[in-house]
Amino acid sequence: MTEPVAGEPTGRYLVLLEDDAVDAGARELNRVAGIRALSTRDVGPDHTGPLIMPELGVAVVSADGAQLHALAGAAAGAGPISIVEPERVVYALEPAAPLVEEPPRTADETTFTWGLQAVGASTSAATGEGIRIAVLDTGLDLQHPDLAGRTLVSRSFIQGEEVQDGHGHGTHCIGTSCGPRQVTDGPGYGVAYRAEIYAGKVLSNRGSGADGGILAGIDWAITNGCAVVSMSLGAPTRPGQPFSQIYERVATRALASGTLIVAAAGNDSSRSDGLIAPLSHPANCPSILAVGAIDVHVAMADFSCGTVDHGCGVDLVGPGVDVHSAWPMPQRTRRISGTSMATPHVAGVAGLVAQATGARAYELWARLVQTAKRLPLPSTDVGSGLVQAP
Amino acid sequence: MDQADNPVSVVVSVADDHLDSFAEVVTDLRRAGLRVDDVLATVGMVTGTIAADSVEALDAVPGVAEVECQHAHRLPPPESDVQ
Repeated sequence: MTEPVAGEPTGRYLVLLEDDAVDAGARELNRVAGIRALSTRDVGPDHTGPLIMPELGVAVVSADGAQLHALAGAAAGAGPISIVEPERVVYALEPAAPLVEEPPRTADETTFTWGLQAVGASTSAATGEGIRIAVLDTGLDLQHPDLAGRTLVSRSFIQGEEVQDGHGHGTHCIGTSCGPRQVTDGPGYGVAYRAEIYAGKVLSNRGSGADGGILAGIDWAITNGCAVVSMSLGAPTRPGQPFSQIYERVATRALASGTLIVAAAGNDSSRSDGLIAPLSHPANCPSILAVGAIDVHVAMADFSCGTVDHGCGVDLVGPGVDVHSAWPMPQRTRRISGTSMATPHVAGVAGLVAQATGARAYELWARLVQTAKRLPLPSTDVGSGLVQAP
Repeated sequence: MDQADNPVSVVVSVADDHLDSFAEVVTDLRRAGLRVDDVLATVGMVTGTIAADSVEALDAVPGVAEVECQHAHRLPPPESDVQ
């Protein structure tokens, strides 16, 4: 026997013949083992005896112990018989079963947002305590009642503007990553609800900013020992456009310092029109963890950017459609959509994992992708899948 | 107006093997025409503005790894459903 392979045997054997040696092989089967195999060209599908498939150069034969010994001897020596191994039973693969439980058509958000439920934060024992999470965005409503009493460090990198959020986007993102898991009226919406909040304002109240302020915010976050930097920001890219060498270098230096940078994949796709746009800058940098968005049905968000260029891939997805979180007072909360909303879910879970395991940087990245819930969706859209709390 | 008169915003990264002499690199960048906005020592970056026709001079400064123009980032307005 050559190369025995595990598996349920049929009692028959496959005989691999040398290339272009079908006729010689048929003669050899007869000579060494008395097996007269017929070609599939000469017999119908009902034939049950020894068979040779000339296109494949393979014979399928029944053999008793003596015949098998003879065939094995022929395979071991020179000649047209190359390999003999047991034929194995194979089964038609079942149609892919859903790997994810069918979600409810409408999530029950009485106690927790659908996002907290989807990432498992609603049942996680981890809190983010002792972990510093930086959110680089439009700042924060510093008077927001849902964040009262929290450890908060803030800084504005926008000239002439205070940290106070005049847009809302930053407050929403901080609400998801670090907000409360329990509130008096409405669902809990915060993942790492005891993490220390580092609110860096790198986008103005009009929602605009430049790389200089963002890099200054990253520098500040690393200097302050933040384990996670969440960046729900980006600039669209074109297919084939190279990623920023500068941000890549910053991201690797951040990782070397124990800081993981998480960034939004971008909202430039229009999947219902067949358009999948490439990842935004700087999420397209290999060493920045890029986050796409799914909805409550675990379907891709129509707008979520995808993997277009090799090396610039989506790494994980998070809940990013119809996300309920904090908004500057007096509105208090609001529902919006975007990969901007998916990103702080991942950042918050990263904070939980950092607390629960002590992992930082590349190890934290590895644990996030290792434990992500695999989804029956293209890896180019979802990377390793849906982030999961420990 | 000549394009060269338009200052551009840039980010300059300092190479790993020059992080020990970071301050000297910054000094050399200023000499090469960079108006420094921020010196980011932790990540080893310098941000600033420079006349468009002088950007290439930054590349020649010893210890400089990369020079890139800054991107603008813009969120949709607060009332937008998708952000």
